[in-house]
Amino acid sequence: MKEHLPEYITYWNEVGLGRFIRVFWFFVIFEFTRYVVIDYIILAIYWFTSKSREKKWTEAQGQLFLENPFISIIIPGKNEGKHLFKLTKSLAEQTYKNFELIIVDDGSDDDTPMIGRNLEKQGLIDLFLRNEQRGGKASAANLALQFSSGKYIVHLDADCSFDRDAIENVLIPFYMDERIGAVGGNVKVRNSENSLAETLQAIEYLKTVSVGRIVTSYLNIYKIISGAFGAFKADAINDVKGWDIGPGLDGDITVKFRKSGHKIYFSPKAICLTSAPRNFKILAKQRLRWDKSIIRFRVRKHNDVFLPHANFKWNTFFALFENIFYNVILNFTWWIYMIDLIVNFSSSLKFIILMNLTLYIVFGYVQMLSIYLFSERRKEEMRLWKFVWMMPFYTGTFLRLVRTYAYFKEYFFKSSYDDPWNPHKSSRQAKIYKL
Amino acid sequence: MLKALNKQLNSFKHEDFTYLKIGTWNLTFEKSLPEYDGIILSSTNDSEIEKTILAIRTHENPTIYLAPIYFLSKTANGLIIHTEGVFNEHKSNEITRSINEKVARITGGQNTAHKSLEIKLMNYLYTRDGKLTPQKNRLILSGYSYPFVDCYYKGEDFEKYKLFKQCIKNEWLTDALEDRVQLCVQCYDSYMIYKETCPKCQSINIQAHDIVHHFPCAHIAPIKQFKKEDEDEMTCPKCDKLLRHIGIDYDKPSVVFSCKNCDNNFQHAEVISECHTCSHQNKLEDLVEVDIKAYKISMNGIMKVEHGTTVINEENSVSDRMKIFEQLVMQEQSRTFIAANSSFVVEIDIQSKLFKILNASFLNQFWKDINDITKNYVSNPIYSCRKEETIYLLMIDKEELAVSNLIEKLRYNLSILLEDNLGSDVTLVIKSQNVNES
Repeated sequence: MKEHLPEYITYWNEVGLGRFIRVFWFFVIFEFTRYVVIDYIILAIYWFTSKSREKKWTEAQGQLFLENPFISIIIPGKNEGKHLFKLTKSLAEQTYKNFELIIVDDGSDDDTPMIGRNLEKQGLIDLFLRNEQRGGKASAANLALQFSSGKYIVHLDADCSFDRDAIENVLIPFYMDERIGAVGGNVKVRNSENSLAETLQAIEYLKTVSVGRIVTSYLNIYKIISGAFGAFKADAINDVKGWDIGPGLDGDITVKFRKSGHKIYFSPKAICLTSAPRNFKILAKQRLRWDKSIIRFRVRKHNDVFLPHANFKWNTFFALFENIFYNVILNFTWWIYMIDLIVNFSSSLKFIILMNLTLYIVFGYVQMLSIYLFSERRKEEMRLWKFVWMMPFYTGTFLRLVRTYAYFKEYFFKSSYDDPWNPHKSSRQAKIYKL
Repeated sequence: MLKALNKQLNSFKHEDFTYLKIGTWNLTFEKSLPEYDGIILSSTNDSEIEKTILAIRTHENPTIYLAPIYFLSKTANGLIIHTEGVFNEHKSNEITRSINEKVARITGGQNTAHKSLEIKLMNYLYTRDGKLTPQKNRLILSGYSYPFVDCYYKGEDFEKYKLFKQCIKNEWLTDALEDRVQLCVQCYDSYMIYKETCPKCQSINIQAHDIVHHFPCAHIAPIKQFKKEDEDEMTCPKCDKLLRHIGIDYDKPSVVFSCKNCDNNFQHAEVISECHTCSHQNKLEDLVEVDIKAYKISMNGIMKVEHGTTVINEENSVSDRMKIFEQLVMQEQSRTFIAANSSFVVEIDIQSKLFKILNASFLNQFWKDINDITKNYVSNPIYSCRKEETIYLLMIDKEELAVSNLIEKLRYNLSILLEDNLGSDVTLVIKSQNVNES
């Protein structure tokens, strides 16, 4: 290895900037520009405007507590009974107290009904509803919505826990700008030290959720309110008639909100900790489902956002375009880039691969720096630094392969309709009506 | 026959039997009653009938309290259960003969007075068919009355269970579960009205709605949102599609109640049991459960009646233990103690109305638990015995202070146990006595 180092350095000294950009055009044009240049510019603006934003935030916080609106926290799920008691404890600790808790058991086949009824009897849950037949997450969420009476609807996943001020912080943005119809919470990975898969997901979540969504929210192209933690104006969610059948129903409802003219906001201070898949096999299954939903909802169902019509909105156009471009188009472009390298630079591949790796590792640490600057858990997240060098293999290879496979399956075979995540009876009907 | 009966005012002879016809009860009947084979109630006045039946059945003379009693005519009077029914010229003489033969076997021609109700009950069952079957009776709190026995327990509905328990303990009776009734926790009445109520405000003004789930668009809501008034068709309010086929494009996965009083929504209505007598709203888990049993005289019971003794005499073993206990106490009284020590008799007396209605196995377990607890706290060698609801402990060679401490400890722990098992309706008295001061 050591003997090749001078040869490697000499090679790249002689190449020059023009050839360097020719070789790494994919990285330079798309990834470096988007995830380093644009991100850092936006984060710098975000940093410089923080004082005025803080002032606005404090005023909104005052208004929230002055009005003290009654809100509904809804949690749909199947076989989530084991999480319910912890969840009620986590919510009981919240600084914002004026809420009702509605849990919908979507046909669980474990002890969930017994646990739920018991907690309802003890007054820890305000309303526990059970559907004897499973209908899917969307219908469970819609059932909770039917019986909710709050001004705002907060949708949570049962296996999450929350910072004490999380509910407060997800509500405050509604008082900063009345055009805001929905607010997304900041979802982070809990117990990231349990396995390598969870550690890498923790870094990924910090990049794409915690920092990525500050940027997209600032650019007003924020396009997904996580199902794990999101808040909606009740009248707005009723206007869009609740959730449609999933998978990917959280992204779908965000687009529906955008299309109906509501602003979407990301609240980085509303921290929620979730359990990530503990191994790569489970993770691949989860990501296959998520990635298929991009084709199903963004490319097919909501492709009208790209067409000129009375309700056309540029920010919705860009939000979905950015999503489709960076996830779908660039995913396939990357394979073209690979072919380009193999065909045109086959003799230098040994230097290119090594440089590529070097670039992405440095790129990873530069991104990690932005995470570090914006994180409120710097000390806890310090241990993640030593795993950042693995991210090119995780995002650049593992997730890319999963994504490619998912897009292929969904685009050509509409396989999301066969996903057991939804009951067959619902998926079959959704397929018939192209929903 | 009936004409002949009407002609004679007080006596009626049919075949070989002479019956005394009673309209209004008076004490002069007591003397003449043993001379008759049976009694016929001719009054139609319910209170007169009741007075007569109770006077006869609660009498101490076996030839009187065991006498066959008949109603002259068909009646709806509930007290008929304490008699042989309506007089029937074909069957009644046979019944009278059978009863009187058995009565003669019991008394042996002697004119003895019976005071113990246990003995009287055994004699009654022996002279009848040997069975004591509970009869449904809405006027009784538990909803059931027992022939003969209820003549003694008017107004004290649960006392009789103590009698049955004692007879079972003596092995004179066997029992079989006939029914299990749930009683109001406040007045012990069994006449309950069950209602589905709102768990929040207890209002009965609640309504159940089917929940409809439309598969294609995942809309789910109460059926009223899908159905317009006076229309059979169901249309989805979210996607305007017609709902066609349950199980294919929609289903009804659950039912939700809504309360019209407080707007509460819930899936499980709370069932309340309202007592018809005192209107107390009982929660189902609070209702007092009582086993209603049918009893039958056992071989031991028959031996007791016929020979005055039984094969297995549990009562003796209890009294034997008491005798031993008393002897030990006497020994302790004659002992000389060093220092300030002495021996003490500790009496633990537990009283509860529930003892009368709880079943035997529960009570056995209960007394066993009490015994175990006392053993846990008394480490010195002791002798103990129980008589009815009182446990006696003999504590040997103890300081008075140590005994007082022990009693406090016992009182505290037993109170918790008793309250957990029997509720607040329990009285616990623990006292000690120095054997040398008694």
